[in-house]
Amino acid sequence: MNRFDFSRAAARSVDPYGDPSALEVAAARFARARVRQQTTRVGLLVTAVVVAGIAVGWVERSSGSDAAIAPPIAVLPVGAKAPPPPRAPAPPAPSPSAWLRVGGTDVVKLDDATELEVTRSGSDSAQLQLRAGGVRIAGGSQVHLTTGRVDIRAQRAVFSAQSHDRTLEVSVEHGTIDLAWPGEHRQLAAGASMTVSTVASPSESALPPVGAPTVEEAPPAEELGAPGARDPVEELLRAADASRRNGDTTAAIAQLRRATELADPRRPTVLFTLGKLLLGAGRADEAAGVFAEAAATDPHGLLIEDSLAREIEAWAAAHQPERAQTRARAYLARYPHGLFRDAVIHWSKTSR
Amino acid sequence: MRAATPTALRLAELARADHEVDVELTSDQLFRAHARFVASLAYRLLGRSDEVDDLVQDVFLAAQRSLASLRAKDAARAWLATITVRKARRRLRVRRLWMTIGLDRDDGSELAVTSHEAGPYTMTLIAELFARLDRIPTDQRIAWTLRYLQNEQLDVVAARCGCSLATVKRRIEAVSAQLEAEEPRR
Repeated sequence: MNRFDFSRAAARSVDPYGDPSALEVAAARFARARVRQQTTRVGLLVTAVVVAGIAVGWVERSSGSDAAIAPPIAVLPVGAKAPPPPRAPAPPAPSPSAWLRVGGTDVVKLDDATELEVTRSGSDSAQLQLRAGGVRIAGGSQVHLTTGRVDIRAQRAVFSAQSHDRTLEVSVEHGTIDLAWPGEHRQLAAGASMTVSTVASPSESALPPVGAPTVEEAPPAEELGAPGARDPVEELLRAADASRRNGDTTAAIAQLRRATELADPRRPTVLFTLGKLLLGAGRADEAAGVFAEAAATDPHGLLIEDSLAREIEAWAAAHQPERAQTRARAYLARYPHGLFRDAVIHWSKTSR
Repeated sequence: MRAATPTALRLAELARADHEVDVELTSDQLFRAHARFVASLAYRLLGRSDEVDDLVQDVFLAAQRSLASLRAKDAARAWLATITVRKARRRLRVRRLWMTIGLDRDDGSELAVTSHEAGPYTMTLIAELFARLDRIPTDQRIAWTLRYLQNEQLDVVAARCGCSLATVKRRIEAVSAQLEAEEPRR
């Protein structure tokens, strides 16, 4: 056996764990290493869970979820009262005739003197008659607005129509409208405005020329609405308009009362108009009754909410708080988020 | 269903290669049954007794993770040998890298060979052998070690090294030629 073979044999004879104590030491070390390995695994698992939780929380926070930015919930002891939330200042009472929605069209009254009649309404169309004042109309439906002899037709347009003594001022904000009166037709686009006469020219009628007194002689109410008349309600309404423009509210009220006595689908509107005139004239008791009648006449009509609100206003003006509050409760029960909610609450409190 | 009686398993039975097993092994039982074999193989592969313990721990920790897949006890020894060779190859490659850049220790600590019978002369011969093997490429060294220090058959060596029989032969011949060339002439 040479030196190389001897060294090979010697290397083969080496037994590191030949000593039983060395094997025991190695076994104990292996047991500790196993525990350390399992501890490391558990630690890594816990770390992974924590990191995943932090990541999820961060994603939720960065996505702006309500839960992530919600304020902490206050914990109160049993029986303790939570402090009242800070109260915002009470908003001013809105005008009860601010606007209405008919046939998919938003109608805003531009002044308190506005008299608007809804002559027909559908799901996507509305036919309106402007008797006085001004309106701003915006909507996607087909709108047909009549003022005197002027017809305005619009579709998906926004425009304003302001009625003056004998003229109508029309301005278009968006879209296009068709403006027509006897013998004429114009189309107005966005940004255009025009003033047209609402009465026939001197050559067409016997109206006095421009500059002449505009006082119209309204016939007595008894003579209007005769059975033989073509449209007695229309005649009475025109006469009432003329009387009101002339400052004769008493005559206008009488003519409207005469119109309410006729069986006509426009009766709720006439009653509502009469109520407004009575309320303006300081006859709040009568106005409240008329508004109540208007609401009762057409309980599912377009003016029911307005009538109910006006009735509460009238009862408040008539210093009858119990009635005002009773009707206010009825209004709030029917329209908890109604247009006149704040105004109704205001009236029911101020009438005490 | 496996029998849940690992404590009933006797180490002597466990170590018998021809024993047919269908019982669940615990990692501690596996260690006690095969640690001596693994340590011997590790020493022959590495040539340094102070690295043997670390390699044995690595081998059994790795085996513990796959212990459930071990079906028969008679395969445990071969399975552990394969793991040992794989892990030793990694260590030897790292060592050669350190040697290449001049950072591997060469302080003669390998002389502290754990052998109760070996005297100083034998220990010196062993140290010389492993010092020469350190200069041989890792794969060739492993093949030669398995063949001539572990006394494995060539097909077994090929299986342990994960290569073909021809490759194993070529590697062993290359190492033998180099060692014989370096053998001092008397």
